[in-house]
Amino acid sequence: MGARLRRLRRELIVAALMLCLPALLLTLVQEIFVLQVLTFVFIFSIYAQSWNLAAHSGQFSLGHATFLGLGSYASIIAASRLGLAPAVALFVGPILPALAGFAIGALCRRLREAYFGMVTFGCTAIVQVLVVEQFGWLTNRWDGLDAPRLAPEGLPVERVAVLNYVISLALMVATYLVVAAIIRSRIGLAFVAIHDNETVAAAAGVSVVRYRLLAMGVAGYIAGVAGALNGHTLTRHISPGVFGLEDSIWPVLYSIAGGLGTPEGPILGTLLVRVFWEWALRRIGGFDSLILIGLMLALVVTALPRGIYPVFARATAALGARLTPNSVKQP
Amino acid sequence: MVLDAGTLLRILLWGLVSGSVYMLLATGITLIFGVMKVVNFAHGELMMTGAFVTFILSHAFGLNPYVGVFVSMAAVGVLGIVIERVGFRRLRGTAKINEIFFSIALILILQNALARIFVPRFREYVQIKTPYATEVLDLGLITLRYDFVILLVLAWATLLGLWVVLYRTGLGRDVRGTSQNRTAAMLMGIRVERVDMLTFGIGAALGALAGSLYGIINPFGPYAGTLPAIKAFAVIILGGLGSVRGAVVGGLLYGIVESVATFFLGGSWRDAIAFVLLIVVLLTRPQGLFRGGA
Amino acid sequence: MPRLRATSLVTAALLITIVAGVGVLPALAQLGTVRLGLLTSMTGPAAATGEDQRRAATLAVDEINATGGVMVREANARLKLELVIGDDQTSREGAVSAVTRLLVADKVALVFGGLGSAFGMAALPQIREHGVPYIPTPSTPLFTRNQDMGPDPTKSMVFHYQATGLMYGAGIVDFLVREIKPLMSADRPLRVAWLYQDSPFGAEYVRGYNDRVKEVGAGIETVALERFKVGETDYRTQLTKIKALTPHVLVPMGFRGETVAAIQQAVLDVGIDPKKTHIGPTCACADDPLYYKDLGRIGQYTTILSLYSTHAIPKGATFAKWASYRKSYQEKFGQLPGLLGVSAYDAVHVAAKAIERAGSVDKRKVIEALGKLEMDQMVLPVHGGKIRFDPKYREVPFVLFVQEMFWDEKVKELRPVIVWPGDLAEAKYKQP
Repeated sequence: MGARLRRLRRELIVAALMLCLPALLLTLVQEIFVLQVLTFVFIFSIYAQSWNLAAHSGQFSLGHATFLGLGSYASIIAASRLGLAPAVALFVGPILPALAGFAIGALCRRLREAYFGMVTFGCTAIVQVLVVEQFGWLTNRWDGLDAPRLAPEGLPVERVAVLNYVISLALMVATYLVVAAIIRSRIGLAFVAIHDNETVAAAAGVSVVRYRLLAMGVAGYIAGVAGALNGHTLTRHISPGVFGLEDSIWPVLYSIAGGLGTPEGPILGTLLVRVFWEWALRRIGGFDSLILIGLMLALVVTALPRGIYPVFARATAALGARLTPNSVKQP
Repeated sequence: MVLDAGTLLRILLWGLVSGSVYMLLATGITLIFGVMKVVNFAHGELMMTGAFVTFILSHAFGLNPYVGVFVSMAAVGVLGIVIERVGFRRLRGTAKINEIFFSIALILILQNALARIFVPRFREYVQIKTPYATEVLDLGLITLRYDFVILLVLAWATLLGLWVVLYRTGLGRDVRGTSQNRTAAMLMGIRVERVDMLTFGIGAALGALAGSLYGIINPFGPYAGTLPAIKAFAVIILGGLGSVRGAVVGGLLYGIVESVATFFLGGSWRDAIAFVLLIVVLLTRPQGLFRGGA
Repeated sequence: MPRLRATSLVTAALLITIVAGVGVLPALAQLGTVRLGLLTSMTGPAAATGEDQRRAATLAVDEINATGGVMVREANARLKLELVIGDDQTSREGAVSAVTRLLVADKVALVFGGLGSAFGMAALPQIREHGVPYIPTPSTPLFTRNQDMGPDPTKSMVFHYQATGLMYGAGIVDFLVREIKPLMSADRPLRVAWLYQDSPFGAEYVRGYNDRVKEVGAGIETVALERFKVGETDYRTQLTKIKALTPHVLVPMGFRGETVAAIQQAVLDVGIDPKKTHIGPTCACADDPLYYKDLGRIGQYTTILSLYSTHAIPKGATFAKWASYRKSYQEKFGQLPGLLGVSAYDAVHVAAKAIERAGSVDKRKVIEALGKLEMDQMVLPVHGGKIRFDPKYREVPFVLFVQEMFWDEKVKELRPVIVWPGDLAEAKYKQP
């Protein structure tokens, strides 16, 4: 019990930090471009967080773009066709990818690892065809849909950027707390149990199918929110290209680079990888920056198989120990 | 529409040809998986590297592509060995997902390195020109380019060669042994690290062959390998991870299904058919059509 | 423990955020330049026509800067042009982030260029949000023909400098009816089969074609509309289906590489006989040095509907600037230019002229100036010889023509002969 409480306290502090630091940055830097890069980081760390949660239950999805894209489409259609305010559509739309998560989870309930990955990837390819062909009348086929913006009319571009920044930040922190809470709870324990060894978990009375479905459903919802947020703030447009390989790969990279299994990992991973890439893109350009990212990631995984966060945590703990020399020795 | 014998024959023919390419890809991937239990997502990029090497040998040095293919296989085979040594070997024992992560990083590196050389000079696509590019064989009902015949012959000859290696050589026995039971193989004195390395090299070489053959009949660019490789993955899951027989049958069958489906459903479904098939099969037989094992 | 953790986390996170923030800060604008943003594909599968655009745009910028730059009345000085490239990576997502960077980080005064209709369209919401003048060069008419663009200049900052898919589609019908039908099916409807790219680009071509067919009345029967996904290079199955329908005409429509592959596969693999089935007219964007080289002998007697021809020089004042442009480009870059490059070259000149007329780089003023612009045509041929964006759709009435390909034994490559329309034709269309 004490451990859980300590974890809660730490999470709250981390959350507070995550709110304060970027807010501080906001007052210092008014450059729209920097705000937009960080807004992207906030939004995609929500997406990475969603993948991380599913991975926590042993479901390593390689088709997470399904949820990202469906969330965008549902929210944009709800806002532009059904007249919902974007702020509302943002939370209503993701119900679709949540349902898709349940469906895919059910479809794949007996599949493991590579099989699971391939089928989830396949689902993305199929969803793309369906969106373009069968639902083309609704989705405008390959042209895609323009998204109404989250910020109210009349607000100048600079203010819009700040508003998007703040909202994305708030949602990122909220997602962090929610996911941390889930991981900390009995549900999280069940996830770990299923991930570790399904047979043992089932023998211990854990309903494997139910928890797997729950994990994918919740992950689907969260990813859907990220997609909807992205559509209404940064891209202002959605097209079937979202159901490609790229958007399914990035959350995997961000989460693992950051540190799998921890709620802080995806955020750290997204921040470091994305900012590094933006920097490389401007300084080096095009192909070279992507090659560099690939090399960096290859190095990270061979040198730090557990991701950056554990190293980060250990380093900062060591730093903290040095800063308070007369503390009681830690057990 | 006239659905005559000529049309049907053509549809089957395209399926056979693309199926042979898938078959080679799938076999390479499944061999690597069988021995190392590693899914190499960057196989499509190895395929394109092979295609590109053959192209350069033909374009810049005038080497007949059907000779260049073997040089390419050797070169990419060596590349595969290096990748195994430097990357996958280090990750053995760590979480499974790390291997996936590493192969994704490999995709980024290989694809963009290739593009970097390729795009400024060759723009979107190139195609490997053979001396027989415009020569056709008249079979009455249809005409067939010589290149298609050579492609089929090469693909199947290579598979035959692979069979010989797997079932008639010491290396092949080691590969099969490691694939079936790694611990037992180690206990029996098989040097599994060496097997890993060589298997990856062979898998990569098969990918290079697939790429070169693909590049002779299709325009290709640095990004053209991703989709065929992913379809090949679907195929080996259908055929059973680790089963070479499954990869061969699955690849061929899939090529034909894809061709037929495209004919009746239209171009939009071409890429998704693999996955519809995969899902349908896995729903009924979660372990694939064949058991695993070479 | 939480307190120690907290302190250390603060320090570390602060450091990271600061480094991150500083690291991505964009370079300050060079004082005294006018930044023009070229949004095109520099990387990605359908790329490197972007390279042609980059070169051509650089050529134009250098030409203008050689005279001292653009006269900007408000600044009371001649300001030099600075070209900034936005790479859409041949994807819609890439287009969105590239245009965002151009607008927000590089703060360009105007955006132009592009090959992929889809990517230019994806960038449009950002363009509208920032109210920046945009001169796109892909062909989809949707840039300016959608309900959100009206006469209000703040809502219509897009000026389309390219022949639209509608114009091309109509041109295809006119040529087929005029030159092909009399030869192949004088007394029956002309059976036409399409193999086209499944994208906004392709869709608009087909729409232009269909609209014109409706106008022209009976005479054309569309027997097939087969599609392929962008990036797909194997069309044999679709072509097999088309062959089974025995059309008089096969229209393969896509980017250059796709068109070449489609024609080769049609003739060699599927067995479509160019003597019995006319192949073409293919897309103007294919008209590019590599097209003539790669297509080879197979391409004999095929046709292409062009706006700019790599090799031909049609007669007349309308095409006066072609020779000199070709020469400068070739001298500087060592190869021949293609259509998209020419479009970018012209667009730079149009932008410069508009800024000069506006007397300022203010977005509103430049947009207004573009709306009222009237200037002598540049390289691309325009009806009437004057570039003017029409008040309703802000398009320019370009001159299209059809070329037929013949094998030139001397250079071992295909060479074109203009066969339509009558006033520009060098020779009558020759049936194989």
